[in-house]
Amino acid sequence: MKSRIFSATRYLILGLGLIFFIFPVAAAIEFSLRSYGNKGHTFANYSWIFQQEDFFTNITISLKLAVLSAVITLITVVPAVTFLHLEGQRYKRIFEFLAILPLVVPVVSLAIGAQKAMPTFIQNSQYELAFFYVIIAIPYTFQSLNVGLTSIPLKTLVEASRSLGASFGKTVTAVIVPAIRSAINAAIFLAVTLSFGEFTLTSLLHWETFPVWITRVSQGNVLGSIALSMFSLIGAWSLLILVQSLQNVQKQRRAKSQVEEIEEVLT
Amino acid sequence: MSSKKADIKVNLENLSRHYGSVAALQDFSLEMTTGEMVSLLGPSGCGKTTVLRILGGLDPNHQGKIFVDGEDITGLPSDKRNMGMVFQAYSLFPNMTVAENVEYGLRVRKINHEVRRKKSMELLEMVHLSHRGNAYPNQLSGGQQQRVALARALAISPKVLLLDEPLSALDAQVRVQIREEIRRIQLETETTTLFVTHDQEEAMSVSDRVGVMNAGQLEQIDSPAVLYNKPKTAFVASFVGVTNRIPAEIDGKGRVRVLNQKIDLSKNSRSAQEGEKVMALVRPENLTLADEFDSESKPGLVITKSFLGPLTKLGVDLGTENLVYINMTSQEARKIEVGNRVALKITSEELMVANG
Ligand SMILES: Nc1ncnc2c1ncn2[C@@H]1O[C@H](COP(=O)(O)OP(=O)(O)O)[C@@H](O)[C@H]1O
Ligand SMILES: [Mg+2]
Repeated sequence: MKSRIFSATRYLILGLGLIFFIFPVAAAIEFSLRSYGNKGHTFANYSWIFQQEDFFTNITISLKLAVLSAVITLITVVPAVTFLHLEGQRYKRIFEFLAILPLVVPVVSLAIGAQKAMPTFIQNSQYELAFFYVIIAIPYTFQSLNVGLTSIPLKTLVEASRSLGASFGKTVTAVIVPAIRSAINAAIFLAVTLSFGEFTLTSLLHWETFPVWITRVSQGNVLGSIALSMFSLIGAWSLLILVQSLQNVQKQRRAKSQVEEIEEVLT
Repeated sequence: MSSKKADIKVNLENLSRHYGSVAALQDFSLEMTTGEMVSLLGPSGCGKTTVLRILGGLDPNHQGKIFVDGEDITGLPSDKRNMGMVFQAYSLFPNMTVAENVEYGLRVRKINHEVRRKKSMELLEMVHLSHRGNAYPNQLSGGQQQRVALARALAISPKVLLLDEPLSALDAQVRVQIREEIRRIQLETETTTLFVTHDQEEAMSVSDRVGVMNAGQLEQIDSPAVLYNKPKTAFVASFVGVTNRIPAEIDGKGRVRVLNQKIDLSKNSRSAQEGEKVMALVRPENLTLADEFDSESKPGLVITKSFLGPLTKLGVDLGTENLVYINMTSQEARKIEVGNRVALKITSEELMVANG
């Protein structure tokens, strides 16, 4: 009886949450389908997006930057945090503090300082943004990896692997990375979403990416700008769902072998 | 005995390890013969793990030399030493199945798949886990995980097997079961093994020799029986087996006055001055009940009586800080009840003493 009331309450809360969440989105979608002068609903605002000649250029650039940031995070931040856990326990506090600095330092000084610090040949390329995105994402990526590495007995696993004859490189790829895969996935996901949505620093440095472009073109077209927001929102969701389902496939594979194992025991 | 020298598998020469000014290990030397199981026993922090890690190549910052099969391996990194290790903490690779864990060392050595499978099945059978090959570590109990870790360490046919308190996280019953399993497998595979533990019963029950460590140094290494019966230091005497500490006084001429008796001081005992207050170290089986309350014994009150099958252990209050324990056959103990007054006598011919 009690549990029925409990589950009813649960559904009520869930329902309210969904309404709270869906209502503005639905309203925005409805709004994005309106036409100027109130002549019924239309997809005109969406086809307007694709008619903008820079649409594909900018979305491609943003996607490239996002992937590049993810790659840089993977090959610099992941090994760095792992190394910190293995050898630098004494300095962990200091690095934890340093890792939140990108949140504290104003973007303007970060932009100018980092720009000055870059070698000139990178300064002239839009891809320099990926390095800044990696830095901006560090408070989040560091934390995610930190938690993942704390949750496993890292030192013992490394020593076990080494004593069994594995080189350090082999140990990283065969033992550490798989053991903290979900933390790495989360870090990459954060790096991707943060780079894909970054506006302030990009526009300060006068580069044009998808978010900067959206802001610029939508200034002349209110309905079009709503359509664009909806488009990016749905795009982001699709990406999320894609990543989730890829992870689920992995989990199912694992679960399947566990079911087989249980069957094996039973028979 | 000319083959004796050739039989030396491991030779540790004057190992030392310092952390800042703290000596974790001082001048530690040890020889192990092929197929021997040696335990290092000692209180927490005495340097046992340090020895094991140095031998396993996990701690390069040490002084001293390490020889295995007569070869100097002091500078060799861990992955080139071919030593299987089992750790105190659970150390199975969480993303791999039990079989994959066991095969890992062979996979690293690029042994082909079929040979690997066969070997891992063999080893899992040996630790009675052949039916769990496809399970993941988190689906196993603590005892099962340590058995898999043992199989994994043995898969590489290690030159030396290194066990660092592998049982300390397990509950008592499982602990006894697995330590016997370890000994059986060690004998079957004739693997030279260094076993680290702080549990004296564990060390004494499964080893060929036990080395007792104290504050970074090896106090004595001998067979369990010698260690028990002829301890070289007071520390060893009190750490191995049950030992009563009974207040006593040095009587000059190398004798000690204890329980109204005068007994020779063991020649292993440190020198002491006449009249010095000390603690005599007396095993429970070296005490007996006197027939009468005379001037050559000490009266006391029986406080506890524990039936241990063929033996019974009495706890007697002699007015000293701790109860004094005495073992006797259960037959003899039948007439004694808790609350009885009894008189204790020492039967051993010589005694060790410790600081009072
Ligand atoms: N990483 C370390 N830093 C500082 N001191 C250490 C470290 N590891 C071990 N020690 C010290 O070395 C001594 C021996 O440690 P250890 O070999 O682990 O002891 P045991 O295994 O016998 O409990 C201890 O006093 C311990 O405090
Ligand atoms: Mg230890």
